[in-house]
Amino acid sequence: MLPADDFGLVVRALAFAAAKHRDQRRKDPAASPYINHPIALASVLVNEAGITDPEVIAAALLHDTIEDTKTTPAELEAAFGPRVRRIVEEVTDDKELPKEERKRLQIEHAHTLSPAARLVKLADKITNLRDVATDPPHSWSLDRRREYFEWAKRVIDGLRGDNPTLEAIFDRAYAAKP
Amino acid sequence: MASLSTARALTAALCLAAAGCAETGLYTTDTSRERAIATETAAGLEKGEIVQLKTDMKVRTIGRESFVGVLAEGKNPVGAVILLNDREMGPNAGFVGRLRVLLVDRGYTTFAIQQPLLAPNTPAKEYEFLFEDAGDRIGVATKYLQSKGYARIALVGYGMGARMAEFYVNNVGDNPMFAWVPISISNGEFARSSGLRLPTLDVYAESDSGDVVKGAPIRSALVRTAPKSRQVRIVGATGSYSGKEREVANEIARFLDGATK
Repeated sequence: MLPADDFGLVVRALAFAAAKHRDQRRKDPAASPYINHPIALASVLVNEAGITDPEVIAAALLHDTIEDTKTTPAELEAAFGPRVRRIVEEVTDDKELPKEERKRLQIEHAHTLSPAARLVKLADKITNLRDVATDPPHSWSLDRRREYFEWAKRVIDGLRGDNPTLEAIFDRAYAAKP
Repeated sequence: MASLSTARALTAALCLAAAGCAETGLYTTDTSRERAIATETAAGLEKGEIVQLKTDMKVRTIGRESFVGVLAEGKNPVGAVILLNDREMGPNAGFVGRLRVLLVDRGYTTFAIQQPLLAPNTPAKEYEFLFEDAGDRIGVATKYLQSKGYARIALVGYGMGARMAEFYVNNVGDNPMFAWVPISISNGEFARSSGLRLPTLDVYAESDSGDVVKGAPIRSALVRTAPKSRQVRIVGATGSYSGKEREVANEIARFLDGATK
């Protein structure tokens, strides 16, 4: 049985993320609720890769809270502990930098990520590739979609070696490259 | 440490709570996404034409009986190939989209059909509930090709498409296929099959997903029991076959050229 504390951590993380992202929508044509994206990461980790570390699942649910909401790292640590905070911080871009620089840094820093952050990064890129393949934003041209696939692959190529199951799931998602 | 089954149950519950999953139901094809994919497929088509078909089995497929395929006819084709993509993918998407064009260049008419799909990121296991619907679509696509005069029809599936193809060849006893090609198939029924009746080319990538690679020896043993069949490992490929599409197309064409039922 899942210990009650672990269940509690994951459900609290979901509730926290849902509240933080409550006014946000994804860029897909249906403008899906943003929270569907963190849930998709959790689903990839648990249902497809068999990851059951509750702090990794919680970090996946929270992975965009610092970057895309007004959540602070200290807030995450107070609510979920130092490990969850560290994982989320590792996968958070510095939004003060220009977009191209942020993308370059993701490639450059991929190999420095901790094993737990690699899991979250892989799940994030897997779900994004699937979304770009099947429900791309209306404004994205074919070239932009292709470029996204190629960039995501460069990021993931930099962190390979720790989790062949998730890496293979990424490769299958990459097969949808337009 | 969380138990896997409990963690899965939790995530399934979370998924159901999310609007994207709940609005389509868990085991019915996502018709709105199918429509969106069909529109996108038509807009991005460089070779071939869109064909709209309907399944015969209206009871099981109520409300989702229409589906699209992409037909590309070769010059003086030696046969036709029905192509099934991986889950969540349209008939012209990615690797299979490139494969269907490459096979036309190698003398085969290709008909890539949209298979039923579930809400985004639905676990693969849940796709098994759609296999009968998928089989219906394969049957309708086959009849369509036969109506156009094709007698030699083969089935090629990638990933979940391979699982759907496998379901069809294992369960439709009088199916008219002369051969089938599962690409990157996870174990599924294949590993438990008592024998393969059709010429089979089992294709997998050197760095394929763990269950595909782990199951390769079992599949190899089964393939050896089928006529004119073999297994091919694409060296240097990942499960996306990126950069290896021509090699895969060459292997399939060579196999089909020599296959007879």
